[in-house]
Amino acid sequence: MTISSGGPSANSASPVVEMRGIVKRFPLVLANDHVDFTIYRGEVHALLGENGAGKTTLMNILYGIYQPDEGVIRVRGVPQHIRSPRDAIRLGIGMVHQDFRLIESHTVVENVFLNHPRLGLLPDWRALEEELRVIIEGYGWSIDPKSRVGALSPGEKQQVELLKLLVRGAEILLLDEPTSVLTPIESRMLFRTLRRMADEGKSIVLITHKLNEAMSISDRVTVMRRGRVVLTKLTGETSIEELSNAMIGANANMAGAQPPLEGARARELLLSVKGLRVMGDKGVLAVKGVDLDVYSGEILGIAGVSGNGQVELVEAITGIRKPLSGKILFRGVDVTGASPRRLMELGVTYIPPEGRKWGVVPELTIYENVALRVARYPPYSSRLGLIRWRNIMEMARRVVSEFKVEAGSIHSRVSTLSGGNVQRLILGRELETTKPALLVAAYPTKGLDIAATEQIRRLLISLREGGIGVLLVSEDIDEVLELSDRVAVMFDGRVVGILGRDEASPEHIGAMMSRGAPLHAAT
Amino acid sequence: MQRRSGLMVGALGIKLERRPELSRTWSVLVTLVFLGLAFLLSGAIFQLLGYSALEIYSAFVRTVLSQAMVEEIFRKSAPIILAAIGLSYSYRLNFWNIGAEGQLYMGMIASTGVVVLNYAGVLPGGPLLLFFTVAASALAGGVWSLIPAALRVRVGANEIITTLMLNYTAILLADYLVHGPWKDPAGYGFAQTIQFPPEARLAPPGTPEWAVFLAIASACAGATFFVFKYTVYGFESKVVGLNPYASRYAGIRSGSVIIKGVFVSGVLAGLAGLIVAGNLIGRLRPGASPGYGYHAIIAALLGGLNPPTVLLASLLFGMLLTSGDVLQASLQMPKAGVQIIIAMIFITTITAEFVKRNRIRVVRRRGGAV
Repeated sequence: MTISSGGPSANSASPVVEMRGIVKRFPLVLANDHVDFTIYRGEVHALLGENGAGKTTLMNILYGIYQPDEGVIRVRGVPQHIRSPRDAIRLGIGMVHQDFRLIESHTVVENVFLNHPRLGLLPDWRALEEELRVIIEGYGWSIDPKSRVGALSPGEKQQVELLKLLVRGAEILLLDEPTSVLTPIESRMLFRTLRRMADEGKSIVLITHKLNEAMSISDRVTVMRRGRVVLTKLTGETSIEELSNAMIGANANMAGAQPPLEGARARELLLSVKGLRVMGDKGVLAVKGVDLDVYSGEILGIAGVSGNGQVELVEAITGIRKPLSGKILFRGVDVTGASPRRLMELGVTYIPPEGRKWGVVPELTIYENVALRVARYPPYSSRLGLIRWRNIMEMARRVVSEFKVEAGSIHSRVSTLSGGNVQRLILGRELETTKPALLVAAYPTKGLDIAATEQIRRLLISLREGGIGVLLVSEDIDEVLELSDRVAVMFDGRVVGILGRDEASPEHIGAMMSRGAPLHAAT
Repeated sequence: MQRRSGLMVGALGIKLERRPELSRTWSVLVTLVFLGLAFLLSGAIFQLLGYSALEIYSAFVRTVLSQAMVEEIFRKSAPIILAAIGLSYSYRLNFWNIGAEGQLYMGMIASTGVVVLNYAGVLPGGPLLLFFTVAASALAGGVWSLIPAALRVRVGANEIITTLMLNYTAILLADYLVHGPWKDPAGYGFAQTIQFPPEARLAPPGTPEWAVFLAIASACAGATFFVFKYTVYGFESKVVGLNPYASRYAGIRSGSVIIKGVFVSGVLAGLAGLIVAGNLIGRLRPGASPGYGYHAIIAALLGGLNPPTVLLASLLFGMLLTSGDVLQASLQMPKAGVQIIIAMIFITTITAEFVKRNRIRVVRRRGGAV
C-alpha cells in the first residue's frame, strides 16, 4: 500500500485552518486540553491516537457539533465561531462520520442533494445526475447516481458521503476513521481518492488509530494522547516507532505491578479456546481464529485497540454470541455455543462492557437489578417459581454495603446511580450471587473516575489471589500491564502474541496493538 | 444519562429530555388530569355539534348510577377486562399486540364451533359442554396470538402489523361461517348461527350474569397481579420488556418468555370471546364485537398495565358503552358520540404517558449544550 505522498510542501503553503488552545471539558473528562492544530492547503493530515484520545472531539469542534470551552479557530486567517455544521459547511468544512448518515431507500442523487439549496421546489434531477456523473468519473469511481443507496457497498456509501461534501463546495474534509468499515481494496481506493483531492488543493484530515495508515497516506501527522497533542511532524520525518511511542506514552506506569505468580501455569486450566471464529454485528468475521488458555489464579489481559474482535471473543466465551467455528472448553467440558445461563451455572461470570446497556435495567430498583441474573435460582425463588423478595433484598443490602455502592437505598432506581456505582453494583452482584471460577471482565473501568478505577483494579487482583481466573479485556495498556500475569494482544480478530509479564513492555504491546506485529520483528 | 433531543428556534430552544421516574402519586395524578381533559375536550366537541355537553354528561352520570344499568355495565365490561388484562402480559414485554379483537373473534368462532358440533350430535351435551366451550375459546385465542408471537421471535416480524392483519382474517372468517356453513337453518335467512344452549355459557340463565363476570374478572386481575409481582416469570417478563440486552446477558430466554406472555394474552381474549358469543349475544353473528378488543388496548394503557387499575379502566369503558346505548335512545345522539369520548381518552392517555416520561424545557440558545 504505497501511495506517493508527494503533495505540495506543506511548509510553504498557507494554513487554511488554525485551531489554537482548544479546550473541551465533558463531565469527568478533559477531552481536549489546550490543543493546537493546523491544517494546510493541499495536505493529507493524519490525526492519530488511541480511542478516547480526543481526536473526534477536536474534529467535532471544527465541524461545529461541539463548542470549545476555550480557544480560537481561524479559517483562512479569519477568526470564526462555528456554531453548527451549517456554519462549517458555509466555511467549506465538511465531515464524514464513522457511521454513514444516508437514507438507504433513496437514490444516490437524492441523498447527495438532500436539503441542498439547489434543489428548489421542482428539482431538475437529470441535470443533478449529470453533475454527479462528472464528479464520479473524475475520481474514477463507478457508482450510478440513480441506484439506491441501500444496494451499495460500504466503500460506495462512503463515496456518496464524499459527494455530499463535494457538491457543497467543501475544501476541508474531515474523515473520522474512514477505513473502519472498508475492505483493504476499498481502503486503497479511498486513499487514491484522497490523494487526488489533496492534489486539487483540498485539505484532508484523516482521523485514525492505525499507524500504517497514517504512515502510508499522510503528508503530516499529529498524535493526540489523553486530550493533548503530543507530536506534530511531517510524515517523512518520523517513524512508526516514534508514532507508536507517542500514541501510547513511552513512560507507561509499571509501578503498581504485582509480582508474577509462581507457576501460574501449573494451576488448573479453566478455559481453553481453540481456533475460535466469531461473526461480528456487521456480518464481518470479527474473531478470526483465536487460541487462548486461562488458568486459575491468574489474570490474562487482552490488550488491543477496541474493535479488533475483543468484545465478540468474550461474548462467544460467555454464551451471548454463538461462535462460527472452533471450540471452547471450560474445565475440560465442551461449552461451545452454550447458553449464558449454562455458563453461569458452570461458574463463568461476565462483567459486560457498557454496564448501563448490558449489565443493568436502569428503570428498575437496585434490589431488582441484584436479582437480574439469579431470580430463578434458590434461595431467590422457590421451586414453584415464586420470587422471594426478602432474600433478594437482603442480598442487595450486602452488595451495596460490601462494594460501597453509594445509593439512597436499595429501593432507588439504578438510573439515579453514577457510572462508578453502577459498575460496583454489577461487580458486587456477580461476585456475591454467583460463585465464579472464571471472571470475564470487559472494559470494567472504562469511563470511571480514578478512585473507582483503582478500587475495581484492586478487586480484580484480590480475586486472582483467591484463585479465580480472570480474563480482562481493556484498551488501557497501563491497566493491562498493571494487572495481568500474561498479556494477549489482539489485532484484527487474531491474537498476535501472548507475552509473559517480563516480556511485556508498553512499546512492545503498543506496536503489536496497532500493527499486529512486534516492534523488532523482521518484516 | 438522559436522552435529549432538541429543537432550536431562534435564540430560544425547546428541549425535550427524559424525566427521572415520576413518583406513583404524581403518575396517577397526571393520568387522572388527562382523563378529565378527555371529557372536557369531548364536551367541547359535543357543544360544537349542537348537543348540550352538560345534558350528555348528566345523562351519563344518571346511567352509571342507576340500579338497572349496573348489571349492563358489568356485562359490557367483562370482555374488555379479560382482554385488557391479557394485553398487559403482552405490553409488559414491549410486544405491541393490537390483536385482542381477532383473538376474541377466534374465541367466539371456536366456542360456536363447539355448539354447532354439539347440535350436530358430534359432541356430548350436559355439563361437559361448558368445559369444551371454555377450552376451545381459550385455545383458539391463544393459538391465534401465537402466530404473531412466533413470527416476532423467529424472524423479527413487526407484531403491530401481524396482529392487526390477523384481526381482519378472524373477523372475515367469522363472517364467512355465519353466512355459510354455520348459518342457522331456522333463522329466517338471517346471517347468524344457532343459539348457545344454556350449558355452553359461562353464566347460564338463572345465575346473576354480572356477579359471575365480576368474579371471573376479579380472579383474573388478582392472579395476574400476583404473577407480575411475585413470580420469576413476572420479573423476567419485565426485564425482557425494559432491556433486551440485559435480558440476554442475564440468561433469560426472552423468546420463550415472549411466547408464554402473548399466549396468555390470546387465551384471555379468547375467553372474552366466549363471554360475548355465549352471554352478551347468545350466538355468533357478523359484527358481534363492537370493538371490545380495541377498547381493551386503551384500557390496558390507561390502567398502566397494573391489573387492579386495568380493571377499573375497563369498567369505565363498560360505562361509556352502556351509556352510549342510553344516550342514543334518550337524546337521539348517534352512536358515534361515545366513540368521540373513547378516542379522546385514547389520545390523552398516550399524551399522559409522554408527559410522564419527558419534560419540556425552554432554554436560552448557548451553543454546545452537550
